[in-house]
Amino acid sequence: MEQEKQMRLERQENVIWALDLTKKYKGFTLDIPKLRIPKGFATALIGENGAGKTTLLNILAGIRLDFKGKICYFGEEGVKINSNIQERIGYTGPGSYFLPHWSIAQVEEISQLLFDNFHGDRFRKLCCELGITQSQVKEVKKLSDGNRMKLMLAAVLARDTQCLILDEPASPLDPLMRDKLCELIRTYLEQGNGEHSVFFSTHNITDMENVTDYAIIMEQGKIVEEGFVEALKEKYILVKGEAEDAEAAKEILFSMTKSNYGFEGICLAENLERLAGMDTVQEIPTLSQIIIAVMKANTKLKLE
Amino acid sequence: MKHRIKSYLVFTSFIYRICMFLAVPVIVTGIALWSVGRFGNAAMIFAAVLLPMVEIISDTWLFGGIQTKDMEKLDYLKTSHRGMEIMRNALSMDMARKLLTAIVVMAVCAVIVYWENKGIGREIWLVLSYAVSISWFCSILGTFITRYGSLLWFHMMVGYGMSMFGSICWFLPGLPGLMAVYTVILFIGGILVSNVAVRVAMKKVEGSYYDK
Repeated sequence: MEQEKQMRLERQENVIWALDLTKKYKGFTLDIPKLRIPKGFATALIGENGAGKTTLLNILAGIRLDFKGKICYFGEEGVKINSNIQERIGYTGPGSYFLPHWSIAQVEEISQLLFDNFHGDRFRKLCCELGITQSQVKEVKKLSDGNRMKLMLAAVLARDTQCLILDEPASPLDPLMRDKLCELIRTYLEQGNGEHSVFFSTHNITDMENVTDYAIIMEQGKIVEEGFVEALKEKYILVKGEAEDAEAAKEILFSMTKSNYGFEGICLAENLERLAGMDTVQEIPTLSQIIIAVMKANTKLKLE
Repeated sequence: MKHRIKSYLVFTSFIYRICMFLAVPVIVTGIALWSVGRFGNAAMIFAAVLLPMVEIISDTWLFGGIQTKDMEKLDYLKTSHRGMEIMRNALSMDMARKLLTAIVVMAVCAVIVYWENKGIGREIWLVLSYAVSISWFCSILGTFITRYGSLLWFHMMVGYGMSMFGSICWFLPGLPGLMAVYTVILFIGGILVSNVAVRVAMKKVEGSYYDK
């Protein structure tokens, strides 16, 4: 009873809440016992190539249905994505998203047919704002990767959605547009008054850090770390020390960079006392430093 | 019906619309007009075999490669609950549009032939029906085959092949007497092939939800 109550509460606190998600490929298994995407926040999904980020986002967006597990959207209980949920979710993804021969004008036409909550005037305004109004008849395949991403963003932001699922939205964008993307995400969250949520995957965590509230780190199909950014910054500590202590500190640190002058690495705050006796300086790490440390600790790649 | 037409039109680019709804019918009937003075009734044959070739080649820019293994995943359509319905409507309407184009173009050609050669008399209705059935059947069958590939040369080869097939249809054994029978067979064949084409394409598109 208590467990059921707890689960109901978790469903309500999270825009997407999933249990026992699995998807098997040859040589790869996505295996997530529990997934929480907090409502009203921007959640970043980070992981190395092939970690299963796109597979997970595709499952959540409803464009991949061959998986096992239970997903609840917007606090509602249900296993299958339905029309009501799809109207409330905006998804952008890499690869074949639009048909290559569609023009910008056709994207607007088809969006109006596909979604009740699509606003043509807002779409045109966003296209203008993002600088993709060169020609309404220009085909999608003739747009650069960056402009194609901007077109996808314009198409999803022109709708009245409650959750955005964005697969690597920053990757093809230039630094100026990445900043604009962060601004668009922030505005979207603010306009929702706690009801709008964004879930995006990224490799450019440094660029996206100022818009990230919650982070999920994936490795080899599994979630290896997650939490609110502030909580992660309390959980991990950046340690700097003298070169002679490097070998002893190596045992305690997640990852370490060494030079003739000293070492630097990330360790769990709970292990700090194990560094007692060493001449170290402790600092609050950036999200990027935490992520790299966690990824290094979990990767199968030989990085030495 | 309005919704179905709209579903189809959103898949067609502005240039495709200009070409297929205006330029191609005008050019094909123009060729018929030019050839009727030189080759008489054969102008109908030219039009009936030329139209499928153009239809098959032009499908490269519409649904080219939709039945291939590495087809476009159409993720944007899949994010909407209406995506698959719109796709099905568009595929069906494309088959119907090809029939409509064949009827209009062949009817204009028939008027031209009748005008130049009144000796054809009442048979013109039968010849018109036969020309429409050949043109539509060849367009549909060729389109179905070419959707297994996306390269232009493949579409051109199949378009040429279907034109050859269409030409042979004018020399079938016992044709003058059996023209009505052949017309019915080709129409039934056209309906069957267009149904199969829509089903196969939809199976492929829907299969992409499951990596099939």
